[in-house]
Amino acid sequence: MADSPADLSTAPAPCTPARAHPLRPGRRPRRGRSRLAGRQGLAGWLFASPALLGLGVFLVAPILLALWVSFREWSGLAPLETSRPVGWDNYSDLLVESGVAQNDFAKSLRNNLYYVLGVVPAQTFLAFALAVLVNQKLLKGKTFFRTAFYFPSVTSSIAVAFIFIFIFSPTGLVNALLSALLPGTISLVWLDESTGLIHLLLGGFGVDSAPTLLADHAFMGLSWWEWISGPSVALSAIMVLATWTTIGTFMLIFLAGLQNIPEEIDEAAELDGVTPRQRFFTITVPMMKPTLFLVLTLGVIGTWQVFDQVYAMTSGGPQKTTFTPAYLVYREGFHNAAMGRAAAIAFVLFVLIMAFTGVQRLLLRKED
Amino acid sequence: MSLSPARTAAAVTAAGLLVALTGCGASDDQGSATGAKLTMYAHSSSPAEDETLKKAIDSYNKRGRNTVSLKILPEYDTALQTALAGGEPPDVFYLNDNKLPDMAKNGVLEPVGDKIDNPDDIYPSLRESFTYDGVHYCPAKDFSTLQLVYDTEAFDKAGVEPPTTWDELAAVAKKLSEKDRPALSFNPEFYRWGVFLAQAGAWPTDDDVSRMTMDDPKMRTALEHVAKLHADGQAATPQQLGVNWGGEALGKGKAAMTIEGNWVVGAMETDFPDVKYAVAELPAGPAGKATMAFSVCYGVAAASKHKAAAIDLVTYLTSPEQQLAFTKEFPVMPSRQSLAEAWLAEKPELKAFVAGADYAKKSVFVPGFPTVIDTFNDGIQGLAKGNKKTDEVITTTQKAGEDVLGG
Repeated sequence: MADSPADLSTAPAPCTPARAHPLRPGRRPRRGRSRLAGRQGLAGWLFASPALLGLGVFLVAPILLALWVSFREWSGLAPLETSRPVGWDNYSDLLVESGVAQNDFAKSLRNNLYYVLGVVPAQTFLAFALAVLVNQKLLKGKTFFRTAFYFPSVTSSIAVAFIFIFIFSPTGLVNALLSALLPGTISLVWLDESTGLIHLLLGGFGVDSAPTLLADHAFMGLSWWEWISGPSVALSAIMVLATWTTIGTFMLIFLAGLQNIPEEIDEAAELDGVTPRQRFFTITVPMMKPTLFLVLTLGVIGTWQVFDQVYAMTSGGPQKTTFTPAYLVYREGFHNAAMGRAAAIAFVLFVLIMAFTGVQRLLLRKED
Repeated sequence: MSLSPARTAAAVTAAGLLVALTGCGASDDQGSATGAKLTMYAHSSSPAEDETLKKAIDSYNKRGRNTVSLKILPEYDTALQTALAGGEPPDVFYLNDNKLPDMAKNGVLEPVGDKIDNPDDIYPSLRESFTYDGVHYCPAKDFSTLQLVYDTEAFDKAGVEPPTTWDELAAVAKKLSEKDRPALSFNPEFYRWGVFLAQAGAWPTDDDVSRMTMDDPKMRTALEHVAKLHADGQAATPQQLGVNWGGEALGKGKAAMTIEGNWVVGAMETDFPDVKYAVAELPAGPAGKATMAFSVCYGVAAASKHKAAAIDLVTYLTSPEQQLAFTKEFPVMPSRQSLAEAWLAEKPELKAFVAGADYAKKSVFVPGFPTVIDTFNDGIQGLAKGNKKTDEVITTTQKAGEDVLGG
């Protein structure tokens, strides 16, 4: 949804026909000018038409159609004309009406919110750190490290997901490592552990069931206690995987940003006797702000849409703690014959992502 | 890395509409029974099955009545759904029983269940699985039932016999359980735990799936029984053992018993050829013996332009000779009762699976019910792990079901 056909249509290709008043280019009669502009405009539209057609058929039409479907009840099993209009029902099932649909959706929002809050800072911080590392002039084997760090991003996410299933299996690498480091044998079933991290933490302080205040109040059919659960252990494993696979790409973006910082500024700072530490925080970081904004935006959008890792690793389980809106879209559309509801989820998710990006933009702009 | 949900939904619906616009509406004309070009979709469970199916279709094509082009597809459900939504579906296709309510409700299927030769020969429970609103939509191709699959060496070593009652199951499990190795392992989901519910005389809904019946003392008994097996360490989920399903737990020696269906035979043959195992009927509960059956049928699309020809093909494929030839190669059982003996003559060791046909519960509900099953599974996982209470599971599932069934 990033590219819009608008920037293509407002800028028709510049072309000046040879017949157009060669003697007085600056002061064309009004009528001729508008005729000419019209003809130029036509040519412009003609030149842009392949792209417009492509965008229209593959982007605008499907989105509008999906929006239309989100107001209908459609099984997705019979042609579209068998669907019937249901008004806002699909949306109210998700947002207002209490029931299993709302409950599942609330769970998916909760899970994904923790996912975003965990993955975005982690991947941004790590990617930045790696970029700074491989940007050092004196580093040996720079190319090797750059390739190595970028490698996870080139690998198929489904393939990586399957490898991680083995790594996180009860007899897998993670448990073997932990058993070696910690006393006793660790046989945690990572991908089957539904307890939330915050619940675990609270459990450590002796709070292992909901205090009445949190148990009695609910939002979207989910008690406050369930909202504050934190990501389940299984979801955390997926978060580790997601962070690992994406830092490479973001490192590359940061690296490009770092190399855009003019060397003279660094040199001037050095002449002024600035310590490397000061230089990093007063020059590098502020100059990286646009890049940071880009990475954060891409990160937020990407993490709200997580699907493939969930599909491959946990299918929404254990106990619905890895449900995400994108996974629900798939489940409702292809397993539950509720294409209308699936489309509605997609649009709620769309609005959510827009809101998140907007807020983030406001926050980062304010500081300027 | 990830796929935009808005775009996915949009693309799917758009593809649907584009094709829908070009496709023409189905006519009432059934077409002629011969001389048609038919398309058939099937899913694949093993290369061997693909071969046999291809052979069957070849032999049909050689008879010169119709020409069938067979497509064996991965990601089958999605492929079938998009073809149906596009209005140009295959004439004949494999259809899993759990998909039947959605398909039938949406008028996708031509009712052909009783148009084959001798349709009453098909097991009543299987006819029931493919019946919606009183209409028998499609004839079952074959079926599987769940039974107790056990490691014979482990049983001999512990000196035990396959259990026939819940009490015996508990006793046998106790003897077989070792440290870090539970006796029994099966997936924490309704399509396994359901056998215990049925054995206790409980079920999530009433017989015609019009009302939720979770809140029932028998349900509580059944759930608590299975939860206790897990709590006492006599049963564990395959995930806890680091494997994906019961068959793998058995094959890798991580459990001595599992609850699986006919497909376990093929899997053991390919993955664990050296493991010795046997199949026994599941132990009877307070309400007697019970299990669950799973089946696939030959569906005929309502939008097909060659319905008569499609019925001709289905009649051929469900004929006793073809069915026997097809199921002979595989552990799945023919859906015709009259073939049971002939099939068993080749595979006497699988007698328990056939016996299940007599008391199997159909596991097909109504459109929209998968969310209820998901919620029930959520609860079942909690019971297996010990972090949910029986009452909580009963209440949430009852409520989820009432959302779908009404009241």
